[in-house]
Amino acid sequence: MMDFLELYQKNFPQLTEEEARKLHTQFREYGVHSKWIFSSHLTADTLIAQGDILSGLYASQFDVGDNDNQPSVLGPTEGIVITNTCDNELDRDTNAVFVPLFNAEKYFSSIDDANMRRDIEANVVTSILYMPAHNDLPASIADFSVCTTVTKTWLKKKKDAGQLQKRASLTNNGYYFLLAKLTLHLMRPETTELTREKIS
Amino acid sequence: MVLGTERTNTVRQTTEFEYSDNHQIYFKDQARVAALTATLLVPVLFNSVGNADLQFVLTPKHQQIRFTNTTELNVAIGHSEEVRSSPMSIAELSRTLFPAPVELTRAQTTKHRAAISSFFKKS
Repeated sequence: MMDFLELYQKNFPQLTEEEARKLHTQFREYGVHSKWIFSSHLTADTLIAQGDILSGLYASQFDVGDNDNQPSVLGPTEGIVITNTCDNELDRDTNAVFVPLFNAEKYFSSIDDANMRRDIEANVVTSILYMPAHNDLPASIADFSVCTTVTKTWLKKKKDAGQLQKRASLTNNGYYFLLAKLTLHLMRPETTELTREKIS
Repeated sequence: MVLGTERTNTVRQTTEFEYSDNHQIYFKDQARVAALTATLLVPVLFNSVGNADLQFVLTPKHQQIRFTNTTELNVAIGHSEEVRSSPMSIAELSRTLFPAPVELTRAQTTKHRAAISSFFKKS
């Protein structure tokens, strides 16, 4: 019978201590900088990797307003893929989840809060990912609570029509950094005000 | 007092350790000890300065080191920036990279929501 540690190590990505040390050094010295977070080449054309940045996406959200049965829409826009790479082969009939990227300068001018900007750019805010400028992509932020689902057939159709482009891919360190941010956001301890039933 | 370095037959890295007069071994790196005990790297060779190798086995359940030619010695935990080669989980990486994460205040959250919503348009 497989013990829990073995199960964990088999099923979740791990990096070596050496990789972690280099990543920590880069993060401490440069912050999230395009020199280590973005790869010099894109991932394979036959798949969409977790962390790839695509353009030509559309995002939606429901809010109260004049017609709150209709979503507000953003797009075409850039977005970062959250779905695991193994689920993202374009010939698989599954869905993909991405988080839209918002122009950082426009966002920061809107919030007008120097402390908040400092924390977001340092990437210490649990729910917000800050991505630096890369090639012709401006610096951007992603809010992990603003997710959108698209079908793989939609992605493939848009890609074949030239309306969807892969704009950037992450390095190994960038990928681990994204996973660390997602972990920080989704797996941080729950509030102590919540009491769950304990099964004996 | 640093007496020597530790070598294993698979990891090929070195970690300083100390051996005190009260028969305790002080590792510089707590995580390194955990890695060794977790991966059952036995036997491990200790090269004392100027002396022959001392072979010992790790007993991970009790976190003790037993020299083959001496009595059991407890392991005392120290700290170091030494690098180990065992895998690190993403959760551990997350804690390392973000030791002091920040959540937005209520006022900041309101500003944030307004800024995000301004990017969307009613269809």
